[in-house]
Amino acid sequence: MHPIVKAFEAKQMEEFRKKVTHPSFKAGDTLKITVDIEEGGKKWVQTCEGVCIARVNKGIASNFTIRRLESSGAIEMRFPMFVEGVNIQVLRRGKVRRAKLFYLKHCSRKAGRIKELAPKRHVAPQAA
Amino acid sequence: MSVEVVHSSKFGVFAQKLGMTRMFLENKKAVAITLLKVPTAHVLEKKQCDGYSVMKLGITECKGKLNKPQSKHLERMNQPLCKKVKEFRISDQEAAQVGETVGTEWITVGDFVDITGKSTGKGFAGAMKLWNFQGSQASHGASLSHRAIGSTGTCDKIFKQRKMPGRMGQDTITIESQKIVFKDEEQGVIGLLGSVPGKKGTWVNVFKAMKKQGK
Repeated sequence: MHPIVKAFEAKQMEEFRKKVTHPSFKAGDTLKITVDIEEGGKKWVQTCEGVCIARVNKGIASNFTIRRLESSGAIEMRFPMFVEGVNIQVLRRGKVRRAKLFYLKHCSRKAGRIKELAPKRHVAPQAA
Repeated sequence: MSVEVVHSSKFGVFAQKLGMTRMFLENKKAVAITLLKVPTAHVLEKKQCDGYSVMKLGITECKGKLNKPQSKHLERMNQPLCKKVKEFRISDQEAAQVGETVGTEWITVGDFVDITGKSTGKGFAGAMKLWNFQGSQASHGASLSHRAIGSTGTCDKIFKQRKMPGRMGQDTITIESQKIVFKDEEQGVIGLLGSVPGKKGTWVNVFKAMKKQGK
């Protein structure tokens, strides 16, 4: 990437980070996303919950994918990381070994469950 | 030395393609944009011929060599050693004077520009890629002939202009009415919606749009 293009992206990302701070999350975590939508003079908030199955780190084009199971089938939604109006809340930390959980698409509902990550044990600081 | 250029219906400069990226507009809409570097160009000459006026622009910030006649000519005229020189048509003679420089002053965000450049060369391509031919069957007994052009006619000769495999790309292409969405005057960088012919690092010409006026 050309240094000027890189700086152009970095500047946009920096300005975004000044306004919004997303919680740290990774694939396997259950997220609650609220999106502020403005269309035709109307404003409303759309909410959706689901498991994060992928995070793509591509500078300003970074995004993540949410997978949610419904009675009619599964729904996947992709959100950009660096746009205002997308608010992320982590509901549950998942215990997974992969960065991309596309295998969940081929799992049955029972097999596609993700265990909750146990909170880290307290480690006593070593004496200096 | 840069001057404020009067908006004229015809104006153009050199630019180099830096690459494509993403930008979010005010309505949170993600758009793909191309960044172009517009180097400072020196006005070497202005003339009127065949009923239209042109200005000759030259840039020094580029690769290339000058042979002795070229460099001696520029030296004698007390002009910078420009490695890239081209005539751009202008409609306003007062736009910029010889000895002055032209950059991105004439471009504002919201304007429309035309981009002329050479498309990416694809080499020798088959008729399916080059002319969107259908090709032949994948199965039903087809053997060693899946992407062939098929019949070229029923008479003894092949008529001229028959579409056949050949060199693809490297054509001069003009993309009209591309909107400027970003401008950095210090660096001389502009960003426009959509794509631009050629690879990264390609030199293109940016003209004031012929068919669309900026708001």
